[in-house]
Amino acid sequence: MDLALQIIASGLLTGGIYALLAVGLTLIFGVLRVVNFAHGEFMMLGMYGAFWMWALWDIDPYLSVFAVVPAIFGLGLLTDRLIIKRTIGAPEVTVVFATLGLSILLQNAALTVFSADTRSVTTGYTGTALSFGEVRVSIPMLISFVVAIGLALALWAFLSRTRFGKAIQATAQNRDAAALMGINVQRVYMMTYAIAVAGAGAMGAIAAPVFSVYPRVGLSFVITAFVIVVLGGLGSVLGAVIAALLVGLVQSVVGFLVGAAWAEIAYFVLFIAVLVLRPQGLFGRRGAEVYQGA
Amino acid sequence: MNKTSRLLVLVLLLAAFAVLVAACEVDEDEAADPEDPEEEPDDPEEEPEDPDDQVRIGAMFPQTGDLAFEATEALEGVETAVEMYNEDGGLDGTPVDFVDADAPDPEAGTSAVRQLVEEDEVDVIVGTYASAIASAAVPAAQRLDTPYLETTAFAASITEGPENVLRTTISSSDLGAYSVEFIETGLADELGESPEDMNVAMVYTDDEFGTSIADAALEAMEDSPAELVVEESYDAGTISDFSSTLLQIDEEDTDVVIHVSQISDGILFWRQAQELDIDIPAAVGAGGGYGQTDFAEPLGDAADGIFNIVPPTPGSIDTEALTDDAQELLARYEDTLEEQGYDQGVYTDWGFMGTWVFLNEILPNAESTSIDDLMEAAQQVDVAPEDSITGFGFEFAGPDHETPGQNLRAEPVVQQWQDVDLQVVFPEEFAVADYLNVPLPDWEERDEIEEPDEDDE
Repeated sequence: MDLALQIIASGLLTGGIYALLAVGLTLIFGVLRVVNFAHGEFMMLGMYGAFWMWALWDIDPYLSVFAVVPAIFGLGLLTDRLIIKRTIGAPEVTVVFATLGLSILLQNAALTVFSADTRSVTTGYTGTALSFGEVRVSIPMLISFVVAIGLALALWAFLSRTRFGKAIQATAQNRDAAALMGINVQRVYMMTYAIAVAGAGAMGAIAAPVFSVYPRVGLSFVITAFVIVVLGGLGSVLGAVIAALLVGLVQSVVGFLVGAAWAEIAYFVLFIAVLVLRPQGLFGRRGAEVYQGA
Repeated sequence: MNKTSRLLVLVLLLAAFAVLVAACEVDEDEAADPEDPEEEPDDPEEEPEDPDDQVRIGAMFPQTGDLAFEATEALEGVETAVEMYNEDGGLDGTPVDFVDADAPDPEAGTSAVRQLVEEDEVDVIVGTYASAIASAAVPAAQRLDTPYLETTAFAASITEGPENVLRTTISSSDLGAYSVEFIETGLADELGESPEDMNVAMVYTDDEFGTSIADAALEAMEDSPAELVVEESYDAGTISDFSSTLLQIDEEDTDVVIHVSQISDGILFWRQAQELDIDIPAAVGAGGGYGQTDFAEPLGDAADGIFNIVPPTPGSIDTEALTDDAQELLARYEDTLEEQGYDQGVYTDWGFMGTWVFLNEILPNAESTSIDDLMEAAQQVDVAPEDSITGFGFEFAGPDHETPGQNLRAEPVVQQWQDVDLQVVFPEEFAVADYLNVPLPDWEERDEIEEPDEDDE
């Protein structure tokens, strides 16, 4: 019983790490209709930001996240202005290659500036855990989980409760109708992109005490995040959170019962099954994505 | 779904397919078939070889990309060997020419071979640092009838088929087999257990490097009295949670883990072991991440006592045991590196010594730079371990051997992390330090030791 609880706890904690990344991806896709291949690289930059602030000034990553988020938010605004804005309305291939190119650019820039060295943050709570009976819960993973789920839910509340959040939702549903209602669509696009990549940056900073950082680290997370986005339903923030937890759980349970190599296969099988049985994803609205207004 | 959605789904479906294909563990040798009819070589015999021509060596290493850091060190070792050889007069008074090419990945490696042979007209290629790149480049060179000197890549398959390769460093199969041998002959004694009672877990990355070492270790385990209780492979690029593997290790009362990893996954493995309070009596890393300071530094005291199996270098052995000539060569090599502003890393040492032996022991004794002549000359090489700055000797397997061209004297040693420093502890004749933390202390005991330090800070 304790073993089962341990496997479930570990799976949920790992899923939480993916949640915030997937939420940003699904938001960008839902609103801008852009598949952001560079999303993992913003997480990587967040991790480097947290690492260097820890290495140079001994600032804990849970504090440096407050500097990392505005910095990545600004970078998101700049990226939207220089690249993303110019690809809106262009053929899909242009958008795909623009974000893929941005991903490669950021990876190689990190390689040049930071080198290929693997860098790790070590804090007083590294390797520590809370015990609930026989079940051990990693403290850094628990903090990452709480912050990631908290931020994802805050984003969901922001989208559903605030005026600007509703403007984002309206733009997601129908760009032209939103513009006719007086919504500044370009501003919505810009802010959405910046908020989403800032989420990836935040994820990077709070994951720094758990995972090592190297130039390609974002790629390893974003592949799973893409699966989560489709599984949860394209554009569904809540769906992304639940799908992230589900993927974490599947990885952990299958990893223990069958083997680590099968864990990845298992969630891809789950992903294909959901696509076949419920193409809009677990929480996506059927046909919601066709209201492009383009 | 609209077009963008379909495109996204297509991308993900392709990724899913790639994972399934990877799980099937495609035979690398088949993937790089030296008999591929689409890669017909230009006939090298069209241009008659001029014996007065200067010998040209082409060095092929990743100089850009993720692998560049250590691969560049290897390249600098090769370059230093050529420089020192030319200082000594070169081949019969003629300096050896040297060119290099960038090979950041297997595809680029194949292109670099073509460039070096067809455009730069090199006689011999030296590489490669990365096993995956070497596995593609060696057959490509064979198709162009060009000899290949491998100084730094470990994958067993490199010398299990191609007939144009001389490998001066160790084969991964030796690393894997030696891991098991060490567990039976050295570690069991230290743990106070008989090999029959030992439970072994094998955890490894599913890339060329990881599987080639694991295959050899698993084969050795079949004949071992120790029992294999866990076997897990994983993708080092995507692994984010080792808890399921660690829980299996715990459930099976594992005595020792053989882990083939890169750096980040190696760190994650041990941090999660600590968080889950899973005590592992001993761990043997087989090269890769376990040999890197970037692995041990973040773990701090938690790394103390973890073993790593690797070919020796001057930095890890007692160099006083080397002959006077070898010590003189080592001093000269280190001076030359300093003059050139190069750092001395383990790959620099292996790159240097392999190339040095080729230039001084094989090239002068070969009638030409053809594959056959160089292979024949290699059969005469007899360099004792104490005559080599790396501490391992040189004797190349003949054409009838199952691994033709492999240096049969490239034997590994067992190092152990002690205060973020690797010390050779086995075999006894090469040991420079005593064992530490065998068995590894329980995490609870380590916490008790660490707490006062944290308070001090």
